[in-house]
Amino acid sequence: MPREFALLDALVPTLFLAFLASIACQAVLDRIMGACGVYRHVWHPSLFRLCIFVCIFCGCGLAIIR
Amino acid sequence: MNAAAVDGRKARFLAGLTESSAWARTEWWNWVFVFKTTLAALLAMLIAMRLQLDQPRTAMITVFVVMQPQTGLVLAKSLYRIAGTLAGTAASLVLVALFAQERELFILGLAAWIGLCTAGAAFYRNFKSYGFVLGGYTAAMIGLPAAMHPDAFFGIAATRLTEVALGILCAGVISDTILPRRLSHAITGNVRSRYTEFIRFVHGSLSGSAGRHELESMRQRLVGHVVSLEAIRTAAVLEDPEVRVRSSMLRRLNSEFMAVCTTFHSFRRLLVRLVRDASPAGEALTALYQSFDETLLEMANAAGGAEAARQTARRIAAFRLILPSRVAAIRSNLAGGLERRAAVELDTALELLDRFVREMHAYTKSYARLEENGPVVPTPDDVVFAVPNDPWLALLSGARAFFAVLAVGAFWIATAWPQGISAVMNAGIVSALFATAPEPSRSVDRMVFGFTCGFLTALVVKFLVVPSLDGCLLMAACIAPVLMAGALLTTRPNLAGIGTGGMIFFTYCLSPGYDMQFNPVDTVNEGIATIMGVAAAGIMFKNFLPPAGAWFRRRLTCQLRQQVVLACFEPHAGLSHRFESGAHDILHRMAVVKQARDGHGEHEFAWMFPVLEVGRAVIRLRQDADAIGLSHQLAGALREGINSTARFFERPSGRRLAAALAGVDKMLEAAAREAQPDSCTSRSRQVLRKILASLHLIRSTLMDEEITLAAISAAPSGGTPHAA
Repeated sequence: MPREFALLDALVPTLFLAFLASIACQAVLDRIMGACGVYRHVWHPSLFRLCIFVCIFCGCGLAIIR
Repeated sequence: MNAAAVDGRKARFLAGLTESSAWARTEWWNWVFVFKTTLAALLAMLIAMRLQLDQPRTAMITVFVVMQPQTGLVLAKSLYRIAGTLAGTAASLVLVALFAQERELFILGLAAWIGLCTAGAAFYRNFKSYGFVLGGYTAAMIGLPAAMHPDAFFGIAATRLTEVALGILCAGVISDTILPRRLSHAITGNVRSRYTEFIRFVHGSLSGSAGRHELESMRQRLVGHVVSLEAIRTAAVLEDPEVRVRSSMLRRLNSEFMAVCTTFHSFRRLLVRLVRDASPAGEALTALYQSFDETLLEMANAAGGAEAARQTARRIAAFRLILPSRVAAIRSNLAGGLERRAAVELDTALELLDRFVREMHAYTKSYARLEENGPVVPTPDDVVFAVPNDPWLALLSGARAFFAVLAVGAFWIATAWPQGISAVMNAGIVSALFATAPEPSRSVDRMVFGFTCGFLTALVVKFLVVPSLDGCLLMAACIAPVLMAGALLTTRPNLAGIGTGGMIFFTYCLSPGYDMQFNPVDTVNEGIATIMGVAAAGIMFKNFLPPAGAWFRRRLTCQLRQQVVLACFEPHAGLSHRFESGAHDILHRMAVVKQARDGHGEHEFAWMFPVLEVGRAVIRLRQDADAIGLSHQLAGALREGINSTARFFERPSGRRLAAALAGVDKMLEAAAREAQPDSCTSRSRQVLRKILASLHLIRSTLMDEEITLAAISAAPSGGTPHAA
């Protein structure tokens, strides 16, 4: 995958897109887990949410670099 | 060592322990906030330096603006802040593209944009308003410097955006993961304390020992609870998946609470009057009410837990079962001995008590369900917290910001002041930032003071300390104490403005960066320009229709009365909730203004109870009237009477009050004629009895001497506004 792409002639890093996509992905997961009550069994819910986001984002980033 | 000495030492030790635990309860979270703010700001600075962004200070200032003691508020603010920042950047792009060569037109366009955003901020509430504030503020921050270098606009805008986003992310992550202070705790606290407070209020006010003043301040506190719960709920929805699931239940709880408060007040007023008149109905009612009060009070001692609340709900249900028989007993006991007026009064009071018990039951049940984290009960969608917006108020705030920016811009162009750009920028930022504050001129005063302190500190640190430091970490260590001092100030309500101003301006002047510029002349000039810009905005706030001034207060009272007009004419669906939430929102704003003026402005609240009671009664009346087919005559009388009541609340005067009273009397007569035993079925007689009760309630409220006074003093042509 290219590291950067041209959006209306401005160079935008692909990672930025990955960031937005992971935010969307995390929001969906968050809704689902909230509705299922997963967070009631987690010690530190917000840390848990942050970690999930980091995992998703890192996964996307690695996929782009490869 | 004798026993007495040991005991004494033990007592001292215990006293010290309780003292320190009290300190820990209040101060602990303040200090946590201080450390988190400092940490987030330094983190933002170090990352920005590592990424070699132009101005790490923008990221740091963003942290100070966004940081809040409670987590959800930060996330919610961040979301809207990013949206506002994007809008502001887009606006400045358009402005630079259009007027890069024409400074005058550029200033005009910028002033218009800031004015628009300020108007939007004053029009909406909570976070939407905050998004508008930031739209204006970012346009000032990005547009002006970029207009000086139009060729580099894209680069400048992209870096600023990156820096702002970095600040937002740092603040969000730090406040969410390190010792988070959840909004759901605040919600639980709010719901619980309000419940116990209300029960105590219901119990305490029966004895009649609470004066009118006390009742009013109590009611204002409850209004504050209602509005703050709604504000926290909107923020918490973004923060906490658990709260999101329960959000509809919270909305419903709030709605039920507002209803039960109003009903209780109406009932209480009637009861007090009956007792004062020493009528036999008063005695009977008091006895009846006392037995209900005992039902409630059992758990007021053990308040809090879900189990207690559920038990209370069960007891209220049991009371509801026996209520009809007791009401019938009272009716038959007193049937012969009452004249017509007193009989109607008794009917009204019984109807109100029945409604109060019903609403209290619903409220307690919702509360118990919320406490025990039980299954979610779907709430009808029309329970929405409606906020009445005032376009005039918004337009005037917008005009104020517009003229502030324009005036400073004109000064800049006329004097060819090299640092004028900072002055214009800050005039714009401050006009946008404080447009929604209850007493902006005072906030701006504090801000100017804070800016000055921050400025002087920055001079000392930048030119005496920083040059001898080596490396980012040392610099971070050096500015941390200053930031902590500022953050500590922001935790004190009275000094918050000084703290925020100090931190922001300290960072602004220090301008830590990858390669720092040490130019004392520039720094001092910039600082003076900034403070002048802020002061110019403050002068505008003081002199151009101040938000706590008489005009705004009159406007609020007028809006409050307008709610009754809505209750008279709006369509039925969800109306009672719309009415209650609208009135509560306005009352809350009035309370904020009152607080900003150190408690002056008591008389604005004279309309609180009349508006709430008449509005609710009119809504009931309309609902009941639609439930059965009315005779042509009664329907006509109702329409006429409601119209005259609405006219009175639209613009009160002695004449209109008389007209409204006459209208209500006519309605009462027509309804009483219809309710003759021989002319209708038992079901419609029951509804007619309710209609009579509502009418009587309206009438007794309109007869109150308070409202007469308020009507006379509100009338513009009333002759003697200060007759009281």
